[in-house]
Amino acid sequence: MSMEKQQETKQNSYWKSLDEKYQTPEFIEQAEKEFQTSPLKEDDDKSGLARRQFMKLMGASIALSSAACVRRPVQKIIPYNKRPSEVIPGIANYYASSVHDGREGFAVTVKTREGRPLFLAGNADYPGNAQGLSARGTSQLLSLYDPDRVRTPVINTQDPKKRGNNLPIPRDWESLDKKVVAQLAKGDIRILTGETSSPSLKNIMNKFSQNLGGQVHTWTPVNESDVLHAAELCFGKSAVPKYRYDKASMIVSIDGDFLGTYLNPTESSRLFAQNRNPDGNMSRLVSFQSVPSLTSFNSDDNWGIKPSQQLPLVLGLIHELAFVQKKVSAVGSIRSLTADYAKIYEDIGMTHEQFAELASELAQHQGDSIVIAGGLQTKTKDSVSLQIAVNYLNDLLSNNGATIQWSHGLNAHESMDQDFSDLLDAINDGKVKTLIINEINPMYNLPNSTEFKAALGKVEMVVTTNNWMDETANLADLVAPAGHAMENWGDNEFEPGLFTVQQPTIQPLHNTRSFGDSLMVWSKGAGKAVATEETFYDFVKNRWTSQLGGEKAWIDFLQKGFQGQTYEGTERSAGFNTSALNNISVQQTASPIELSLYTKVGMHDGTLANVSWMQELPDPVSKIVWDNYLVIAPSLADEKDLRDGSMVQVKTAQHEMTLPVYVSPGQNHGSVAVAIGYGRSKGGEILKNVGFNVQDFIVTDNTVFEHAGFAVEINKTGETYRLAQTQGHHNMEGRQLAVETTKKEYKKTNDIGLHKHKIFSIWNGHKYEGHKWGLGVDLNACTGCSACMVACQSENNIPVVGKKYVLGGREMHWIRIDRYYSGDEKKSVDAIFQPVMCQHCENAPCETVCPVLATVHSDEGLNDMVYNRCVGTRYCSNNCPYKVRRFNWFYYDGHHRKEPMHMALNPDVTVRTRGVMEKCTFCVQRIKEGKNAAKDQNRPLKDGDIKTACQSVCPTNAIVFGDLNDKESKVNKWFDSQRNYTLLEEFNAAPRVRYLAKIRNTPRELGGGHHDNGGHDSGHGETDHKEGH
Amino acid sequence: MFLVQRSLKLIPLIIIAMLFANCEWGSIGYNKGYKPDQPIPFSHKLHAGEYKMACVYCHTQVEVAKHSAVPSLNICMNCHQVVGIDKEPIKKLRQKYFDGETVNWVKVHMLPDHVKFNHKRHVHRFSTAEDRYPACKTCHGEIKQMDVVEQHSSLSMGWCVNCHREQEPKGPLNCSTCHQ
Repeated sequence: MSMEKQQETKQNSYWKSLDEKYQTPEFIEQAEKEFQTSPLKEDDDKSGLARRQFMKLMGASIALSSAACVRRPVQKIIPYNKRPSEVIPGIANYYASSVHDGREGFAVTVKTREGRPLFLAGNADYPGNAQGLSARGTSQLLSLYDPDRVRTPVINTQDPKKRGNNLPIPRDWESLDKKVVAQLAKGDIRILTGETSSPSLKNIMNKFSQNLGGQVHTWTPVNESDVLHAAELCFGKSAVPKYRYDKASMIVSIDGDFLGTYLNPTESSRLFAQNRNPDGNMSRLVSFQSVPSLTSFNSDDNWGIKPSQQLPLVLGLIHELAFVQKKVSAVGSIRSLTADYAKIYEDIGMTHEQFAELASELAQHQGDSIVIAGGLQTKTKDSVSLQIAVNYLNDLLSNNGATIQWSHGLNAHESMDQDFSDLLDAINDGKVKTLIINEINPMYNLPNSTEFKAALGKVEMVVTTNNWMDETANLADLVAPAGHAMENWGDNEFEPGLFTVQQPTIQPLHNTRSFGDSLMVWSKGAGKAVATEETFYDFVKNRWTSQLGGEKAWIDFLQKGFQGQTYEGTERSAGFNTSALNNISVQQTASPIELSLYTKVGMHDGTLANVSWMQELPDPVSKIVWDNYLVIAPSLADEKDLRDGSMVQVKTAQHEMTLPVYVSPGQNHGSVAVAIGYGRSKGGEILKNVGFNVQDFIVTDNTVFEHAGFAVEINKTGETYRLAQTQGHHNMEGRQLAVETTKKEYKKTNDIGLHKHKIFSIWNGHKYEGHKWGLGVDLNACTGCSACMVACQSENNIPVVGKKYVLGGREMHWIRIDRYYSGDEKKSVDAIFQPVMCQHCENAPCETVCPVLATVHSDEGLNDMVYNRCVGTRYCSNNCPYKVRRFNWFYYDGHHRKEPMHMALNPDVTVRTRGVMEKCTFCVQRIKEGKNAAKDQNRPLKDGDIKTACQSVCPTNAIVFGDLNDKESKVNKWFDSQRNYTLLEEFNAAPRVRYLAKIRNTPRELGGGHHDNGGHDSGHGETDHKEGH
Repeated sequence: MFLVQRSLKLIPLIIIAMLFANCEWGSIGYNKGYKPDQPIPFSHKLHAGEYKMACVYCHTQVEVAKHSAVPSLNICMNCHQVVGIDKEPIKKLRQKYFDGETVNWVKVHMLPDHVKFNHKRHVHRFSTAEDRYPACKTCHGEIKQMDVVEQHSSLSMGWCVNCHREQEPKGPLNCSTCHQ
C-alpha cells in the first residue's frame, strides 16, 4: 500500500469524537485555535477589570506593597496550649478507617495533617479493595468539608399535613431530643435506613425497634432487589454474590457494568485486571449493552442491544448450549421457552457462527466463566426472570460456587424495593406514627407517582438524619444531622467475615451526632435504653473488645483497620432449585425505541451531587461534565436529524420531558438512556440547576421498581442545549496515540505493530547522576474508572471551574483520561482509555519557549513548574504537543473557597492564583517526602517508596512510578516491555511517561490501523526508545 | 501643558523613591531587620543566652519536621509552674495556659506560601545532635543575644541559592527543591 493510500484509509481509524472522525467544518475551526476561548473577549470576571485597567492598578499596588520595612499583613503564629503527642505540625499521620461511597465499601487510609483529613487512599493490606479507591470514595473528603452541610439540629416549623412550606430553625440537641422522646412514647415507629453494613449499628437499630415497638426498613434507590429475589427462588437464600473475575477466563456481561457502576466496581476492576496479563493468563470479556459503559468499552467484543433483548439473549444462549450444541444438559421443561429465542442473535446483529462460537467458548470454560447481568439498565419488567435465567446459565456452566460465590457474597446489598413498598403501605394504612429516615433521600429518588410526599402527611413526626437540607430533610419535622462518616465511630462488614473499623479522623466540624448515638439517647430518654454504654463509640469499642478478646486486640484492629479474610476456597455448588425456572416469563415486549435509566460513575444516585469534584468528573464514557443527557445511537440521530445538544421531547407511558441528546457511538439504534442522580433541587449551592431530574420515569408499581425497557417516543423540539465535554476539541491529525493490538497478533509477533521512527536530536541530552524519575501507564490494565483524576485533584489542590468554563476549554484537571474510539459507530465500537498527564519530556518543548524560565528541567528529570515566576504568557501551553498544561484564569485559590472547604487543601502544595500556568509535577512533594524518609533512615531509596497520588488509588495498578536509574525498578521493567511506546515519538520530545499498549483478546481484526503514518516522511528505521544521555 | 503632564507621570516614581529611602538598599520587600513587639516579651537572650537552654528544648520538632514550630504553652509551664510566677508577663502566660487559651505570637520569619523550607534537613546538615545552635545561627543570627527577635537574613531567594551554590557539599538547585 502506498504511503498516501495508507494515510487516507487509516487516518481516522481512531477518533475521540464523531466530529473528529468526519472532520466537520466546526471541528476543524475549533481544532485550529490554540485556545478555545480568547481572554480578550472575556467579560465575565467578577472584578470587572479590563486588562489595561488591571495593569494600571497593578503598577500602583506594587509601589505600595513592596515599599518600607514594615511587613503587611502581620501574620500570627498560634501554638497549641498542650500539643497532643501524636501531632507534629508538618508531619502527616495516617489512620486506618473505612468509607462507603454509596455503591461500594472501602477500607481506607486517611492522611491527616494537624488533625484534618487531607487525602484518602485504599488500605493496601485489605484483601477487598486493597489500595484501590473509587473516584466517589476519594470525594468523601470534599463531602466532609461541604459548606452546605447542616450544622446544627433543625426543627422545621410546618403543618405535618401540608409538608413543604417549612422554616428551618436551628436548635440545640436537648430541645430536639425532648420532642423525639415525647413522640416515641406513642409507639408505631419505623426506621427507613439506607444500606448499612455496620454490625454495631444494625444491632442498635434492631434493639431500638424491639424496645420501642417498631420496624426497620432498608432501602436504597439503586439496589439489587432483582438479584435478591432471584437468589431466594434459585438457592433458597437471598444473597448478592461476589464474582471472582480473577478466576474467570471467559466473562459475558449483559448490561452488568461490573467495571463501572454495578456492585463493587473497584474491587471487581482489581480482580479483573489480575487475570488480564497479555504475557500470561488473559481472560476474555464479551459485553452486550443497552448503554455503553466502562464494561462495554473494556470488553474484547461488544454488541449493542435493547433492554427487551436481555432476557431473550440469555434464554437463547441456554438454548444454543443445551439443545443445539448439547454441551450441557438442561432440564427439558425449559426447552419450550428457550426455543422461541433460538434465533435471538439475528435481532442483535450477530451471525450464527458468532453466536455459536460464543456459546462454545462458554462451554469450554465450565467452572471458570462468568455470566453477569444487573444494574438499573436490566431492571425491566423481567428483571427477576433475567436474574433467574442468568443464575441457571451459570449453574449449567458450573460457575456457581466456583467463580461466583453465593455463600461468601457481598454485604450491604440487602435493601429491597419490596421493603419500601411495605413501609409505604403501612403509612397509608395509618400504622406509622413516627418515621426516622437515616441518610437517604427518597423525596428526590422516587418518582412523583409514588406519592411519598402525600404519605408523609399521614405520619405524625418525620425525623431525618440527613446531613444536607435536601428534598427529604425539607419535608421532615426534625433534622438530626448524623455527621459525616469521617467524623463518626463505627464498624463495617462489607464482606461476610471481613470487618473494617470506621475511625473518625477529625472532631465533628459541626454540631452533629451520629445515628447510633441519637438512637441511644432517644431510647434512654424513653426509658428503654438499647445499650448500657454512654456513647456509640463505647458501644462499638466494648463490642469489639469482648469479641476480639481484650483492649490490645482492639488497638490492633484500629491500627490494621480490618479483621478477617476474604474467602479463597471453592464453595460447594449452591444447589440450583430448578423449580425456580417456572418463574421465568418474558413480559417485556419489544418497542421500536426503549428507554433505560442508568447510573454514572461519578454521580451514581445523586447523593454526592453537591460535591463539585463529582460534578466536574468527566463521565468516562461521554466525557461530559455537569449534566445528564439522553444517550442515543448515531443511526437514530441521523434518522431524527439530531446532534449533540439537540433538545428532544421524551415521552413514556408515565412521564414526559425534554432532554438534550448525546450521540454515543456503539449505542444500539433502538435503545436510549439517561442517567439518574441529576436535577436535584435542594441540599446545597452546587447541585442547583445541574442536569435534569429524570426520576419520574421510574415505575414503582412492581416488586422491583422498573428502570428500563420503557417504550418511548422521541421528538425533536428544535432547541439546542450546550453540553460541556472535556474531550473532543483537539485534533489527532491521524497520529498513533492510543496503540492496541490483538492477543493473537501480539503472541505471534511479540510486537505491538507500532510504527517506528528514525530520530535524531540536536540536543546533547541531560545527565542524571542521582535519580531519574519515570512513569509508566499500562493501557491494558487501565479501565478508565477516573479514580486517578479525583485523587490528583485532592492531592494537588486543583480547582473546579464549573460548566461555563469547561465549555470554554478551561478545565483544570492535571491528569485527563482520553477515550479513543475505533470501528463503525453504527455497529459496535472499541474504546481505549488513555490517562495523559505531563509527560516530563527530556527535550521539553515548553521549557525552550518560556520567556521567564518558569518551567525548567531538574537534575532528576522533572519538568519543574515555578508558579511564582510564571507571568502567564501561555507560550508553554501553546508549544506543548500533549496539551497537558492548565492555565488558571480566575481566582480559584484558598481565599475564594468557602469555609470550611479550605481545610481540604494540601499544605504541601502551593495554592496557585490567577494568571499562572500549572500542570502535573509527578507529585514532587511526595518525591521529596520519600527521599527525606530514606535519608532519615540512612538508607537508599527503595523502589515503591514513592507513589504518586494517581498511582496510590489505582485499583488495577495501571500506573507505576519510579527511578529509571534503578535497574531493578518496576518502571524500568515496564519501559523494557515489548508493549512500550511514547506519545508522538517522532517529535523527539522524549517523554518520560511511557505507555504499554492495550491488548484485546479477540479473534477479529481490530477496526483501527496499526501502521498509521504520523505525517512525516523520514525513513522507517529502528530507533532506540530510551532517551539519550 | 505638556510639561505638566510629563511631570505628573513622575509623581509615582518620586513617591516610590521616598518610600524606599529609609530601607537598606537591596532588601526591599524582604523585611530584613523586622523586629515586631510580641504579646509576651519573651527574651531569647535570657533563656538561650544566659540560662544556656538548648534551642531544641523548646523547638522540639525542629530535628524531625520541616517546621521548627513555636512551642506549645505546656513547654513554657515546665519551668513556669514555679519559676518567676510573680512577674507580670509570666502571670499573663500562666493565665492563658490555665484558661486553655494560647498566645498569638507575631510571625517574624515569613516565607511566602510558594516556598517550602525544611528545617530538619538544614539542622542536620549544619550541626550535631550535641549542639544545634550553629545551624540555627546560620540563618537566624545570634539569637542568643537578641532580647527581641529580629529577622537576621533577607530570606530572599538569592540568599538561599547562594548558600546552596557555595557550601560544600552543594545543595540541590532545582526549582522544585523549594517550590512545589
